[in-house]
Amino acid sequence: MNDPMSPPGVAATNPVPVAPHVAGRHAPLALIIALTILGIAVAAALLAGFAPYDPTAVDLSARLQPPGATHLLGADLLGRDVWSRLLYGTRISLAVAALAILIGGLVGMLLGALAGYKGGRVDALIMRLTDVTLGFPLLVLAIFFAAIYGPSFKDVILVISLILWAPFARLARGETLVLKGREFITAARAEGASDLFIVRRHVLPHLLSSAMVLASLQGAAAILIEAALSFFGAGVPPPTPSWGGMINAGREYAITGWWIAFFPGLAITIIVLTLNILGDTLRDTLDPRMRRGR
Amino acid sequence: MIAFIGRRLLQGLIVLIGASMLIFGLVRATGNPAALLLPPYATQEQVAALMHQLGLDQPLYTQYWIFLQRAVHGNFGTSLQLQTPVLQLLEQRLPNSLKLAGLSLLFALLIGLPLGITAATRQGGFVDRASTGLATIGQSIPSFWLAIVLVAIFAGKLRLLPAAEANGVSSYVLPVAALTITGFLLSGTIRFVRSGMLEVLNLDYVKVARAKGLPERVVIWRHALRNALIPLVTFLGFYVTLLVGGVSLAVELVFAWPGLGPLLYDAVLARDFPVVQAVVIIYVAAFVVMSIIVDLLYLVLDPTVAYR
Repeated sequence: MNDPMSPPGVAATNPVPVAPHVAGRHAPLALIIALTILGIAVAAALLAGFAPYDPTAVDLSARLQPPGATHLLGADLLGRDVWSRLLYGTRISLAVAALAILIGGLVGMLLGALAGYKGGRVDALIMRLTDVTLGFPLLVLAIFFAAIYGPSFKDVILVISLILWAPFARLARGETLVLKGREFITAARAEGASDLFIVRRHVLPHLLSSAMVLASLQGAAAILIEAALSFFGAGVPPPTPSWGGMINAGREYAITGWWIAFFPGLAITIIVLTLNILGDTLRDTLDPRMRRGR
Repeated sequence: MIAFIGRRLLQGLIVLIGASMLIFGLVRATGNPAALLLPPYATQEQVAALMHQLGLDQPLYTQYWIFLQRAVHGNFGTSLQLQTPVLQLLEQRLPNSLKLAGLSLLFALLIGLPLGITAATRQGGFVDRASTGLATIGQSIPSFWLAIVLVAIFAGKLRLLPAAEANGVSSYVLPVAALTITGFLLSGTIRFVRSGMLEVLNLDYVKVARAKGLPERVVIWRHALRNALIPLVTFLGFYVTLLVGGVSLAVELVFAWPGLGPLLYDAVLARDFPVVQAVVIIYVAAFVVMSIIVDLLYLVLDPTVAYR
């Protein structure tokens, strides 16, 4: 197997341990499947308006009705249609994950690049901040946010960005340390460009491909965290349907109304699995270590 | 060595103090616990009296200083809601959470080590593909959802296992299964063992061991695995603290497990400051201690790692 990551000559004696079957034969297929599923999810989010029922319409006569002809995936304890709620929940999950990754990713990459570029005290401060972020029981923090301000769409995004920025910062820092010694950075500095300008203009664009890989994997995490927040009642407030909230509603009915929690959880698993596979495939195809050599 | 440990301890202490200030401020930002402890018809004077009794009318920095002095002596105060010393609550609950986490870790190792090793030694083979797939699926399943599904199947449909609480061996099966399969416990073990083994299997010392004619079993388990384990140890060290501090919270809640999860959850909702502070600070302390232990384990497992 010809591995573009290892320098010539080394490859023969010491193959880099990347799963070759993922990087090679199956990569395009996995990518196509992953993108198709994501496309379906986005379509579901956009077309949720065509759902058969109003997702918040209470119909006590349909209470705990099992999946069947009238309610495709059954009805919950207030008689709301699970299928319609599932479609609307797609909107919340995808929107929250996308925005949280965008904010957390940008802030994390910027701070990380700054830490790697400046070094010294700035570096130490930002890295200790990532330590505290990674070591803190953040789910608890999130439940606090909800308790202080009452849960809202905005706060959920804020909390998830806060949880997810640290890995982006660490990634950006590591990559920046490598980039720092390169000539074009020295040249920009010699021309008198400011630190922030150099980081924004010359460092960050080089981190794009590794950021994409991380964003995909962190997107999976964001959806899981959103679900967990909603599960604890600290997510997007009811009656807005969210997947985690639906699972929580089915928690006490695991035995008598299994469909209430089952389908939203299945949806989460499929989307998260897709994002994880996408991230792994992207990493194998455009591994950041490849870019360093250029 | 001593200087290294000293420096790491000092850094850990700073992180711990920062985190304790953060949590101290946060719990107080959620509102006044006196309002929840007293009936809704309580007068302003009664609320003020209770706040004075709890010391909540003092400036924030004074409250923090008092808290810090007591905490150093192992006194985390009394639960506002349950009227029990926090330390006593922790003594009751922590072992239950640790049992759950420990058993899940044990099973993750029992399943993950052989799978990861086989995946590396027969790279690209069936076990490799299956276990990598298993790892990816496992880390994509929400733990609390799997917990509910397991209850629906094994407690509801099949009536084989209890749905809740810690009574006897059978009650451990479902929560341990949910914690082992989901998240990164099993999937991380498989991935780290696999990549660690792949990295060392081609190194000279493994070749020498093979050339000496040692049986393959000895080469793998005695020579290769020891070095391949370093990344796994780091990962598990951090992940187990995360597991007790967050992931298992939801699973414990589903099973009404008498661990730290439901204790913390109820305490947050009731603004039970002393309980929340103590639990969070213990989590952070565990995280700090774990990171120091991991650094030291590095030295034991790999003598070429130098003290920085």
